[in-house]
Order: sequence, then C-alpha cells, then structure tokens
Amino acid sequence: MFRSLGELESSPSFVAKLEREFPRGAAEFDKDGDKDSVSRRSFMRYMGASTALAGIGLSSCRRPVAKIVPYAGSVEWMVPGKAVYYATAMPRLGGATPLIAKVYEGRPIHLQGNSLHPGSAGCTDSFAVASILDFYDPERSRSYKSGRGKESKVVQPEEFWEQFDLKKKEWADNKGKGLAFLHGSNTSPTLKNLANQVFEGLPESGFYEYEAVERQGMDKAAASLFGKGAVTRYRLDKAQRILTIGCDFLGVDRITDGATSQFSKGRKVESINGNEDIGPMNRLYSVEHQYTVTGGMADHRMPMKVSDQYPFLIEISKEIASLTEDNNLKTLVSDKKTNLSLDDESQKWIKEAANDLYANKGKGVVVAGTRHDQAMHILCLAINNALNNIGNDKPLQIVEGMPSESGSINELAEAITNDQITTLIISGESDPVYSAPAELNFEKLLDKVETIIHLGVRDLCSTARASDWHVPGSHFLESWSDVRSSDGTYSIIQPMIAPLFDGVSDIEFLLRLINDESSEEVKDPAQMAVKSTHADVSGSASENAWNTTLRNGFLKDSQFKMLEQELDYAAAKDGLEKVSPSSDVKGFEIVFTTDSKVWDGRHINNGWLQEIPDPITSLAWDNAALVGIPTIKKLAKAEGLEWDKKDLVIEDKAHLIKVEMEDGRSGYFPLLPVYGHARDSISISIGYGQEGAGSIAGTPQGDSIWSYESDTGDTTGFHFYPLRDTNSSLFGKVKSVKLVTEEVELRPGLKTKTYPIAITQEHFLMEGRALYRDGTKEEFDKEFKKSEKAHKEHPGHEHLSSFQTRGMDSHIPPNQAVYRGQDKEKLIEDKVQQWGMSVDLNLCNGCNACTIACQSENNIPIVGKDQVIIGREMHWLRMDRYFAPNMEKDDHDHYASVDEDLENPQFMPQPVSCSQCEAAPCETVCPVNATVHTEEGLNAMAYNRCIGTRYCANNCPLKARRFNFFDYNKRPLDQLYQGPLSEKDKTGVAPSLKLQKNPNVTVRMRGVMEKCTYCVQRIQEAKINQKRIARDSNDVKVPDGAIKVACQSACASDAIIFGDISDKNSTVSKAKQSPRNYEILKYLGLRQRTTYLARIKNPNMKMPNAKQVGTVSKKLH
Amino acid sequence: MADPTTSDPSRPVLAREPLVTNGRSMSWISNKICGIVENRQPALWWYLFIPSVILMGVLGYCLAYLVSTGVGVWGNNHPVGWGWAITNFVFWIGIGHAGTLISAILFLTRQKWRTAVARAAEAMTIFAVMCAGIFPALHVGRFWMVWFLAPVPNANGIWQNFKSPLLWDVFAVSTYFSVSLMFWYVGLIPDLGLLRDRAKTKIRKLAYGFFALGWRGGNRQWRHYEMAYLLLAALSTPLVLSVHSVVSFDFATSIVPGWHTTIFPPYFVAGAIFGGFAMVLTLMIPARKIYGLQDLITAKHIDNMAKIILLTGTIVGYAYIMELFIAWYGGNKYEQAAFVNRTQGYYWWAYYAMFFCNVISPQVFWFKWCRHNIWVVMIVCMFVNAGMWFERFVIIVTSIAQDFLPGAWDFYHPSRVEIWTFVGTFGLFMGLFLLFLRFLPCIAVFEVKGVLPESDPHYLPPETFTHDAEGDQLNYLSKKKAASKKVAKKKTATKKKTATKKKTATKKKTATKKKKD
Repeated sequence: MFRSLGELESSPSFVAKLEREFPRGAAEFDKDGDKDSVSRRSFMRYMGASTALAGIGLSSCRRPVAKIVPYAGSVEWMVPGKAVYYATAMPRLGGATPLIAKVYEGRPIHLQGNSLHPGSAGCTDSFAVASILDFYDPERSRSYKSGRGKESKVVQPEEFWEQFDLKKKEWADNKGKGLAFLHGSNTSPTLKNLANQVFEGLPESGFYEYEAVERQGMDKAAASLFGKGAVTRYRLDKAQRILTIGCDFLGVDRITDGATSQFSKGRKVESINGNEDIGPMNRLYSVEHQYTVTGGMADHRMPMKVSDQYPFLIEISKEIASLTEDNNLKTLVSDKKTNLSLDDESQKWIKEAANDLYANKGKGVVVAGTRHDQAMHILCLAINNALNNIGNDKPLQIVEGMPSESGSINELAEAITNDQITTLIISGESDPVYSAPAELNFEKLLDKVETIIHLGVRDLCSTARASDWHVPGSHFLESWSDVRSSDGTYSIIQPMIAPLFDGVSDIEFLLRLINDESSEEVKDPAQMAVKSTHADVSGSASENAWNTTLRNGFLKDSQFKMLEQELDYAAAKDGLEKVSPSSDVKGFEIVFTTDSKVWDGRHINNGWLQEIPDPITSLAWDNAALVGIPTIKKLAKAEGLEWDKKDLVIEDKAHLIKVEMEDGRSGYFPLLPVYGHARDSISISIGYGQEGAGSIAGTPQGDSIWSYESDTGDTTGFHFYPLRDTNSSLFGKVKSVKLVTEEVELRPGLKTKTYPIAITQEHFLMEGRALYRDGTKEEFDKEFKKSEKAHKEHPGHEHLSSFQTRGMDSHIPPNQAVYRGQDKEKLIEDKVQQWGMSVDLNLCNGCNACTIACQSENNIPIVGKDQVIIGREMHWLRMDRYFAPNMEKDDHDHYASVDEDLENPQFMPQPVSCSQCEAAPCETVCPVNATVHTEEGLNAMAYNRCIGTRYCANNCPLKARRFNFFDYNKRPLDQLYQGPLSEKDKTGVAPSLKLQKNPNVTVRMRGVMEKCTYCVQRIQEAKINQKRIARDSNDVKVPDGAIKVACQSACASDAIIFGDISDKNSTVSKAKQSPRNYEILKYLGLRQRTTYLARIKNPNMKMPNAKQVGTVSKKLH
Repeated sequence: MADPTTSDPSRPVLAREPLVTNGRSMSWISNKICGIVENRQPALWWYLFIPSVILMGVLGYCLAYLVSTGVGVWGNNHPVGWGWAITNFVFWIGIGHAGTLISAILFLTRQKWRTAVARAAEAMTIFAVMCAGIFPALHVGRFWMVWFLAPVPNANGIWQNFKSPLLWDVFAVSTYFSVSLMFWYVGLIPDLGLLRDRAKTKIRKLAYGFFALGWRGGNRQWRHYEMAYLLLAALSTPLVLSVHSVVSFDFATSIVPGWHTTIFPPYFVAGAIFGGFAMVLTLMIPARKIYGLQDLITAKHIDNMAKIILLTGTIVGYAYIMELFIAWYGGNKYEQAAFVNRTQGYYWWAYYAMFFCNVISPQVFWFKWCRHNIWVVMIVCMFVNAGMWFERFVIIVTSIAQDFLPGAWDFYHPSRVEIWTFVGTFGLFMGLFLLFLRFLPCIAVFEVKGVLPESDPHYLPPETFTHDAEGDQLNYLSKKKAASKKVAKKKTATKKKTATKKKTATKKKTATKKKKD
C-alpha cells in the first residue's frame, strides 16, 4: 500500500515532507526528549496494565469458564452419559478374573464380573474391582527413566530404545548369553508363545519367575504326582464336605478362580427363585492359625499353628487310611510320627471330621493352603485320592494346565552370584527388590548385574529404583493380552482406552525384542499377536470367531483337558521324604500372610483397598502383628504385667512388640489382638512398609496441630519381608517375642511406645442384640416346613418363624392397622415399582468386594488413615463384623461365656448400608427437605439441598449416612486441614483420579450428607431402557433381574438380591418370604426395604462343641 | 388454719425483709447505678475486658477456619454427628432462660425482688442466646446455604420440612431472641431517659437520647409503657417455657435411645432455669461487689435465687433418676444399654460429674448459712454451670456414640478448634456483658425505686428519718461526715464553676481566632 508514488519510491523529498506532516514519535508526544515525562503511549500502557491487573483480581472472583465441546463427528457407539460395556479379564495368580468394564466416553470407570464366564460365574473380589483405581493411580509410571537410585532421571523413550536395539544386536550375536528375564506369574498363552520365541532365538538366555505370594507347592505337588503339566482344578460346588487346612480359599488363597461362587452354590439352603437346583448343604471344616473369612463360614473351626498343620494332616490321613483301608495311603503315612500333642477334644475333632469325609466319599475334598509346601499338598492329594474325590465330575479334577517352566528367584540369585548374568529384565507386578527372600540380599546382589531393565507400572517401587532403566508398563485395561483362567477358559484382554501414560505391555516389550527393525510395521503388533494365539486356540482365524470371543470375554469350551492319570504313589512317597516340612516349631512361630488389602504390596498406592478394613481385624491403612489374647497375656506376664482385655488397644493406639528371628533379624511391630488365633503364633501380613510408595500410600497423615498424633512418617504399615526368607516363606521360627514397655525408635526420628492404628470397628460383640441371626440346618428345615404348611393353611396371614421372633422382635405389640378391613393390595395398586433388597447372610463371607464396588460406582472418596482413626470413613456400605464367644447355660439358666479369651468364637459379618426405611427417621428430621422419599420407596438424597446439619445421621439407627467432613474429592489427603491456604487447593486431586468418576453420580462437596440410594442411577437407566423397549405397550415395569446394583454385581457369593418387592414373583420378594427373612431393627417399626436372611450352619452333631454352632442369636430375646 | 398474724392481734406483723437495704433513697439509687455508666470503670473491668476481646478474636478465627475448611476441623465423626457444638448450643440457650424468666414470669407473679436482678439477667439472656446461635448456625456443613432454613419463597419451590424439630428450633430460638431483645429494650427506655437527662457530653446525650425514644416520663407515657411491658411479659412467658421444650424436641422426637424420652421438655426447662440462675449469680455476685451494689442486690436476692436453684436442681435430679428408672422399667434393650453406657461406659466420668454438680452440690442450699455465704453460693453456681454443660454433653454424645448397632459405635473427642470455639464464646459473652455494664444501667433504676417503701403512696416516713439535700438519711450518717460531705460538695461545685468558666473562655478564644482566619 502506498499513498503516492513518492512514498513508493521513498524519495528524499517525500520523506522530508512526510516527516513534517507526521513527525516521528508524534504519537509519543515526547516533550523535548524528556525521558521522565509520561507519554501518551506509556500512559496508555500503564493504564492498560493496571486495568488488566484489576481485571485479574476481579476475574479471579468469577468461576472459571468451562466449556463442553461436542464431538465434531460422532464417535461410534458413544452417547455421552451412556455407558458401553466391554468384556475383558484381569490376570491373577494362577488364573484370571473375567470382567466387564463399564466405559463412559472412553473412560473405564467400573469393573464387574462376567457372569457368562463358565469358570468364575461373575465372581469378583475386592482386588479385581479395585484394580480400576490402580489404573488411574496418579503415581503410575509415566516416563522412561535411566540411572539407579538417586541418579535416576527421566529420559526420552527413544533414548532407551536406541540402547535397547544396540543390546539386541549384542544378544543376537551371543545367543542371549548373560541375559535373564525375571517375570511374574501369568497364564497368558501369547506371552508364553513369545517367551518361547525369545528362547528359541536366544537359547542362552534364562527365564525366572517370581511372585512374593506364590502357589508353587500346590502346582509342584500335582505335577509330581500326576505327571508334568498336571494341575489341580477344584470344583467346590461339587463338594459336600470340605476340609481346609490353612486354606483361605474365600479370601486370599487363590486355589481356583471363582472359588467363592462355587462354594456359595453348595452353601445354599433354599432355592429362592424356585428355579435353582439346590443340593444338600455343604459342610465346611476349617483348621487355620488365624481367623479368616473362610474360617468364618466354617461349620467347625479349629485354630492351629501353621507349623502344626502338617502333623495334623498326617493324623487325619492316618484316620482316613484306616477308614478307607487304602493301603497306599496307609504306607504313605504309617511310618510318619508326629510329636503333636492333641487333647481329647482335638482327637475327637479329627476322628469325626474324618468319619464325615469318609461317609461322603467322592463328594468331599481336603484342601491345603496354596502357600503351604509341597509335602502338604501331596498328602492332601493322596487323601482325596483315597476318598475317591478326584476325577471327572468330582470336587477335585486333574487337568493339563500351563505350568511355569521358569526358574525360581533362588536360581537367579545363584546365577547372578556366579556372574552369569549381565543383563536382567524384570517385569511383572511383584517387586523383587522389596519382597525377595531376605537371605538373598537381592538389592545388593543386583550390583553385580551390569544392566537392569525394569518394566512395570510403578516407577516408585524398589525394583524400579534399583534398575538402570525403567520402562513404564501398562495396565491390563489399556493393552492387548490374553489369559487362561484356572479352569483353562481362554479370555482376551482388550484395551478400554489408549495407554494413559504411554506404557508398554509385556507382550509389546517381547515383540520389540523379537521383531527385527527391518520387518514391516504392524499397526498394533500386540493385538496381532493375541489374534494369532486366538486363532491357534480356537482353531478358527475368522474375524467372526475373534469378535465373538471379544464380545463374550472368553472362548467357549476352551477349558483345560482332563487328565485321567493315576496318582503316582511312589512319587508321593518320594516327595514326602524329600521335603521335610518344618514341623518342629515348639516356640513361637511367625506367619507371613497375604494381605487382604495390598496383596503382596502391589496395591500399596490404591486408596480404596488401603481404606477397606480387613474383614477380620477391621484394620485399615496398616498391617500389624496379629496375636491371640492368651498369647498376649503370656507375653505380658513375661514382662511382669497383668493385662486386661481393655488394655490391649487403647484408643487407636497399638502397643509394640519386638520380634527376633532365629538368625538375629528383628523388628518392632504394632501388636493387634485378634480373636480365634492359634496360641504361640503371630501372623503378619506382608506388603506394607514400602518407602516412597506414592502420595496415597505415603501421605504424611494429617497435621498433628489439629488432630491426633499419628504422624508416622511417610510410609504406611510395616515392612515384614526382611524377616522372611526362602524357608520361611509362609512361616518361620521366632527366637523371641517381647512386649515393648519402654520407648523405642520405631522409625528414624520417631520414638514411641505405641503406634496409631486405624480400626473401623472396635467393638466386636453384639451386646445381646439379635442383629445377626443364625440357625442350624435342622432348625431351618423345621421352620421351612412349618412356614410352608402355614402358608398353605392360612394364606395371607403373617407367620413368624423362630428367626423372626428373636431379640426385641419377640416383644413387638400387634400392629393396629389404620386401614382395617380394607384390601391393602388395592390401596397400593399402581404402576410404580417398589425397590427392595435382601442380603443373604448365609452366603456373605464378609470379603468387602461390595464395599469397593460401591465406592467405584458411586464416586465415594477415601479419607486417609487419620480420618479413619477419628471415625470418618465414607463407605456407604460397610461390613460390620461381630464375634460371639461360646456360651453355655449355667445352673441358673443364664448363659455365661466359656470362651473368655475368644480363642475360637463364631464370626459374623454383616453388610450394612442404608436400608431405605419406609418410615425413615432421617427424613422427618431434615429441616430443609434434603432427604425425601420417592414413589418407588427410595430414600433419596438431594445433595444440592443438603446444608449438613447431620441430624439425619444422628437419627439413623443403622448409622448408614456419611458426612463429607472435608472436601475429600477436592483436596489431597495431606491438605485436608489446610483450608483455603492449602497449597494444592487449586489443583485438587490428581487429574487421573478424576477420570475414574462416574459421570452419572454427583461428586459430593464438603458439608453434604451422602448415603446409599440403591444405585439410583442404575435404576433410572434401566427404567429409561424399559420405556424404550415398551414403546406403546405401556409395559414400563423393569423386568426382574434387569437391574443389578453395584454391590450385588460384585458379590461373588450371590448374597445380595435386589428387585421389585411389589412384584410377588420377583426374586427379592421370594427371598423376603423365606422363614429366614428378618428386619435388623424391626422393633423400631422402620419398615426397612433391605432385610437380611439368617445364616444357617450345618454342624456335625458328633463334633465337639457342635451345640454352639449356629445358635448365637437363639440365646437372645 | 387461721392466719397467725390476724388470729393474735397482739403479735406484731412479721416485717418483710427490705428489698433495698440500708434505707437507700431514690437519688442514691440513681446516682449509684448511673454512676457506673458515667464514671470510669475500675481496673478490673479492663482486666476482664481485654482477654474477652482476645477470646472474641479467637472465636472469630476458629469460625473462619471452620467455615473455610470444613466441619472436619472439629472432632465429630460418623456416629457422633453432633458433639461439642450442639452441647454448647443447648448450654448457652439454657443459660438464656433465667433472664426472661426473672423479668417476665416473676413480673407477672409480682415478685418484687426481681427488680434488682432483672435487667442484668435479661442482658445475660440476650448475650447467651447470641452465643448459642453461633453453634447451630455454623455447625452445618454448608454455612452459606443456611438460608435454606428460612421460609423464603425461592426458585427451587422447596419449602422447609415443617416436621423437623430442628426447624421448630430455628423458629423458637429466633422468636425468643427477638422478643427477649424487645422486652429488654422496652424495659430500658425509662432508664435511658434518665441517662440522657444526666448526660454531660453531647455524644452521650445524643446516643441515649436516640435510644430513649423521646421518653419524658409523663403520665401517659408511663401508662403506655406499663401496658407495653405487661404485654411483652405475657408474650415472653410462654416463650420461656417453649424454647427449651422445643430444643428438647430435637432429641425427644428422635429415635435415638437416650434421646427419645417424653420427660425431656419439662426436664430441659427446669434444667435451663437451673443453669440460668446459676449463671445470673455467677455474674451478679462479683458485679455487686465490684460496683458496691450490695444494698440493691441483697442477701435476700441471693437467697431467693439459691432456693430456685435448689428447687430446679432437685427437679433435674428427679429427671435423671426417672430416666434411669424408665430405662429399666421400660424393658427396652437399647434404652437400657444407653443408660448402662452412660453410667458405666466410656463417658462415665461425664455422667457422674453431671450428677454431682447438678444434683448433689445444690443440696447445700437447704441450709440458710450456705445460701448466705457468698463463697459457698459462688462455688455451687460454678458447679452448676459446669454440671449443666456436662448434662448436655452426656445426653448428646453418649447417646449417639453407642446406639443401635455396635458395629457403628465410635467415640468422639473434641478437637482443639472446637475447644477454642467454646472458650471463644465465653469471650464474646463476657465482652458483651462488660460492655453492657459499661454503657447501660445494669439495674433497672426506676423499678428499684418502685420497690422502695417511700414509693408506696401510703408510705408514712418514720419521724426519725430526715433526709439531707442529697437524699442520704441523716440519721445514718454522723454529723461530722455530713459536714465533710458538705465541704466536699462545695469544693466540687467551685471546681466545676472554674472549669466551665475556663471552657467558655477557650471557646470564645477559638471563636475569635476562627473569625480572624
């Protein structure tokens, strides 16, 4: 642009003219070059700046503008706010948990079991449900790192892969000499194929397997008795008599996938919806050193030290051998002498249990703990064989599985010591540097290895820190893989989302190792690899077959082949001779148990699992040394103290004990008294005490200025692995145990006599209230017949069973109805469905999976250890557990405790959540109408209306309401008390955790009351769906079973039933007609929508103490 | 039975104890009471006021922290939704009962001794209710939404839940507060007029004048005043009984064992009067000593109040025992367990502290000597103050800490923030009360004058009585003293004169200066 030709040419005359007309700097009004004077421009500048500053100040008063940007082109299958469900599976020790992932807008938010799966039947547990939080773990590894320990620094991925390719060439040249892989246990056929390929290419390389919690003894025993590749497969649903020796198969001992649902099938006493085939109720005998959920379900339980369990099994074998007259078994055990001193009662116990097993030949099973040694399992198999329990359609089957061919960590350690290893690639979720047997001194040993590459999801774990290279691993929800569950059914693991942090899966890593750079680029090599395995396994390479498997989540009829081999008694004899079980622990033993919250430590940064109370001890956020009361008294006596039960835990503070092992290793641990624990035995769960494990695991708990003194450093729990070595993998001999009476240095800088622990439920007695009701099979059968008869003879009348008239219920005056003489049915006749729930206590073992599922579905925050100590956990569904000491009638017809120290009490778990009372006490007291009843009978919460007076919670007899004392959803755990000055207030919780939130459930702010509303979002979704189906037919009633609430779908034992109670034919209505049905606080006239079904025990009346079994609530009235 | 005074004419009529001792005259009363407001405060006033202001600051800080951070800064937890906050609320609201009881019910029942203590007791009521109001207003999770409690029609179209006792509570307390405030203020008007008339500075004149609402003391004004006061007294009387009844409904209408009790309304009202009188005595006994009001608030007053404490304390004791009896007799397992827990459980010490303070300690008032010994009265009142706080703590916390399901049981411990908030309310209460003493007549001057024997239209002064110009009874003072007084008076008079002269002089000077400018 030019205004004249002169300007275009910039002729001097024009420039001079221009200068005159528009003097340079005129805009600045530069008065004679006076620098200080304010020019127009600078004035504008200052004004502008100050206005802008003012603007900043003001704009911060406004809410930040958040925009919802719609998709430019719609994404297939995706409707915002509508979930899409995909089938996948979670790899587990010795199998897999088939899952259905609920995905919103590409974010998986909730996991539930795949009920179509033949092996697990929708069985999940708390680990499987909570694994979604591991996926969103804010401290998950998100970058490649190089350098050991403190030298570790973040590097670009290319840097690593460059080095890796160089190494690859090196290995190709020397056939992999010096290369070793240390991987975790897995049952992925693809991974196995790839490993085989690697091994073929690099025959000099070595493969080693390590799991801190393993089942080697079990697998090795099967292999040695039934030939290579043989694996045991339990079918507990086919067992009518089960004897477990130290096996917590309902809890942390994974003998098979779906053990819980199998067991629960055999446990049912009545067919609730009428179309279930109910066999005779099973009977469970349990011998265990500490109370477990399995022991809780047992009809007969005996506490016994782990070190005594092998001799005990020998005694049983002898008894069974003489009953069955099985010579093979006889010869196997006849020469075995046990120095077990059994009292008369125990002898009777053994005799009658053996008799019962013998009487139910072919329909029983004897199970040993997965972590017990080989000898124990050999003996178990021999007993089962003698009892004809092994075979097709029997409770125990021998199948051709996928046994591991890798070496053990001890072999790896030996190889390293011999300088055979130069490069070690560690993968898997175990953390060997943290958890390897203490005598290996693994961390030091690794100094001898030139290069260590760690592939894992946690770069904070000790192994990652000890490695030269860390490669971020991927979670099973974001990568392609496959897996076989323990019955062999093949499942595909498909990614729900693109890798969040660019992690590399094990399969991808091996593919990088195998594939040449020259080979052509495949779009998704891992998927291709899995696809080819699938083609192999299914025998069909068609896209259709692949899609079907993907959709179902498993391949039909892909179970392992049954083996018809005979038991090799010679090998058994050999095995028993070779393996000398350490059964001579006369003094104290220490048992390293698998933790019900963090497993072997891998879930340490998972807030849901950390905060879930242990089913038995109710301990959250920690582990502790569990000791029975008689043993504690003994320990106290040794210190010259006289200890009362009340002294054991003082207001959330645990006393300390010092444990010293035979070889001098020792440590201080908090002492937690437990009930039903074997004498002279200490159990400690592993997996805690990891340093720098993450912001959730290592949150310095609270601020001692404002709350309780519980600053325990930046680690939760106690590190027990240093006490554990190869020989004491399950238990070890303890040289001395001492009660700490003076201050000791528990952790650097922390001198104390006690340690704060968070227990969610301190009171363990029912206080004579019939809150939990139980009965025996005999009693139930009688009542069942009676009620059937009564219903037939006087239909429409209320018939109260003996279960319904216990406790205060026996004093309820007759109901004087206002609408006398009117047809009640007509009065409530309308189209609206009425929701209700039934909890079958006979099937509930107290595993807590429901609580986690509820947490995941309903955006329930965690609150941290400090808040749990104060008593502010937010779980909408909590697991109350009670212990009942054995009581006997005295001369005056009063019941008196005969088990003062609760050495073998009965265990009673009871899930409690809002029971949607029809006459809800919470609703009448809310001043602002924030909690109201819906037409469908839900006690709804209007979170926006709630001002938080907490009156409703006070008036709730179940105490099922939860109050947001802090902004748990906004502030990190260590900032709760910081108020507006909190550093990270603006950022709130980690963004990755926000991705997990269910978009259909409000994320509650502080100051608001919250509680269970029967997953109202699921009900609404089902109703909308039904309306869509109904169209003009007006049939808008949601069919029975279409709605599964979160806790229900997580319950492996099928204990929770939900549905329409106005429909007399719905499952829940049927359940409520059972004579076992009762309202927990019927006396209050609340008309609760959630009712319970009493637990039924199946005692063998010949057993000692059989009279006590299943009669806890019978004494209460 | 025949009246002994009439049946035997020879027996002299038993004279009532005078309500104002030492035969103080009307002007003495005016001077004495207005003097407190007009003169400098004793050093002790400052020693009390400064810490009170500091505590008020602490209260403000604690509340700001509470609102900005969350209820979690307190010690409440899941079974115990209400802890110290509601304990303190009921404690303060209970204290706020004595004032209106004294001024309304005793007014209607013509209990003339009330005149000396009514004003201060009413002020105490208002300040106590202010302290009380802080807790329910701020204990909620979302303070900024507290207006949901007000029946304001809003866009949500949701009304309050009129079934909720908590809502009745809001209405009851706010009604009580506003009526009490009005009652107090109306009662103050004649005295504000007096202060205005006596005021020597312009600001005082304006301020008292403003609040005196143009009080002239005319006959019609007195008539209107008397009627208004009577009506307000009648209006307040049911409120005295209703407020604490409604507060007790918060508990009584719930289903929590230990709360769900029909005896609560009368028991709470009796307890409130009990605690209120103890607090009146706690404040008045030192105040009377500091300001030399022994002639107005006499041993007779203290004696009367001690008797009321004895009566209400015994009623409270009856209620405690009746609760235990009903728990046993009712046969309800949960109810029984609640009382077993109260008496033998985790908080047993609170129960016995309560029982000792509220039931046992007032029993000393059966003895006249104890009622007349200031120290004994003070100590018992202190016990009662503490005991009434413990009573609320025991009721609220022990009941919900352990109710129906043992699985949900947990214990409650207050946090430091909570403790300081409570301490802070004492600062607020004391500070306001001290300001009241400083700026308003703490005894109703005109009412006390009304109970003087001379106020009786039929009063015949005994001949021996002569008053000097200032109203002092001459026969009570020695002549010498009177003489010295006269001299003193002269001196002050001259001083005043010179002062005013000087003032006018300087004023003139400044005026001329201004003109010059």
